[in-house]
Amino acid sequence: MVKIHKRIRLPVVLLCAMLFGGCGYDFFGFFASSDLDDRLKERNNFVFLSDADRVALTLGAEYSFIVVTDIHIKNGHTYGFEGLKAVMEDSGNNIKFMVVLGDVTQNGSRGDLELFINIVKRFGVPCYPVIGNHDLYSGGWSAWRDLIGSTNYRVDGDSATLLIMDSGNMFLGKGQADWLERELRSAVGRVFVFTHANLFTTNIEDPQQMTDINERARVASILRGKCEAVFMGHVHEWYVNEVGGR
Amino acid sequence: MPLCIHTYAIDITQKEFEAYVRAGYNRGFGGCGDLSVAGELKPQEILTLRGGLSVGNLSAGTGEIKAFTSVRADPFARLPLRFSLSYIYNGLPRYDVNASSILPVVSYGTTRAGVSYGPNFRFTSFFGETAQYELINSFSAYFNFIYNDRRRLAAVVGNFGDFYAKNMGAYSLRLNYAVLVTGNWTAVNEIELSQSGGDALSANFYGVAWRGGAKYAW
Repeated sequence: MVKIHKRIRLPVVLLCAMLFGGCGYDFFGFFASSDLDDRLKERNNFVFLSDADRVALTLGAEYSFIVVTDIHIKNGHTYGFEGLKAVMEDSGNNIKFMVVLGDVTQNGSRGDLELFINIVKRFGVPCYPVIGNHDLYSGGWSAWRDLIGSTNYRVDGDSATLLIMDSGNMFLGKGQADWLERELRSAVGRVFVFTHANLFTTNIEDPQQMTDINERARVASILRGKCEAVFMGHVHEWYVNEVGGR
Repeated sequence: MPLCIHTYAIDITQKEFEAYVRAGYNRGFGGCGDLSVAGELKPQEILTLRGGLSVGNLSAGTGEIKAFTSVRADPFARLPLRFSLSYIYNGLPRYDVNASSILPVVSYGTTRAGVSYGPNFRFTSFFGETAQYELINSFSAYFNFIYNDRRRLAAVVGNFGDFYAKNMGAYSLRLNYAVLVTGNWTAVNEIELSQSGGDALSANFYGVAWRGGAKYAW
């Protein structure tokens, strides 16, 4: 039996509580998170999305789309995500595509990511995945790279442009901000931006948000007057911040 | 009726002036740097007033203006408990974005170590619009490896300082070395390592910076 000295017992307990209390008990998930620059090297690698889904998305003048976030599939438990198909079919809305804003899996598991792919393939509309911080845990990037591919890409529709950005490490980086600025110059129709990490925080109990507020200022400036909306996940809450009149 | 005028004698017990140059790199903007000055007055033994101004570049062509003013009270002679209230301004003219932080902080610190915590009431205005309000945890902790009349070597972890109050995940590690060169002059060097935020240990490297300067006290 290991005896823990009284003086370090409390800090050890607190440390374990912090690690196990966050993100659903994935102690080992905190390690080996891949780097953004490594992922951006695979920007042009598409395994899951077809060329038609990326460059010829047919929307028309009026359309609807669904944004889902933070499913956190874990060990095959999907939290009823597959039930969304029936909701979509019964809604009567002209749903043209779906975006999943990251944390698709709880700990980057290849099996859970395969399950996600099998589910969305049955939805009957293009699905555009965004990588989240949880999807990087425990070496999850290798599964994402093999099964989905790029984490930073553009989708061209006849009346809208979708821009997907990688904020899995809680920042976008100069390269992605430069990419955003370039892509906006040739964007067609309405522009929607999707990324996992949230730009604003809602309350003091929600500590997680994109790290650098100067980056936020740059992104807001780039998107000013050029973007309908930015969709973000991560905080498991619904709130809206209006910036630049949008 | 006689007019009574009450006066209080103010005896400034200490004055300080500091100037620094800072150069660094981060993954959001690349190379960056700034020049900053700050001053401190102690009008009473238990009260300290501080203020400063910083101008610099986030990157080529992207200027940054920072300013702060603060008041700190050390009301207890035998208890190292302090209270401070700061106003911090961060402006980015190129992006037409500026942020104001009101930061009350409670600190407990000895010559060996200390911690500080406070809620950051931040108001960020984009493009002259009504400010976006956020409430964020600000925290800092230091440990002095060396602390004597001539030298101080300290490690500091936290997400706020004189000129900034960042997001909770934007904490950095600073190694600060101050040497008393003469009776009035102190030379200061500091290295700062920043990480990208995120959950606990899953963060990546984000940036590094060096800050050097001098402090004059009289």
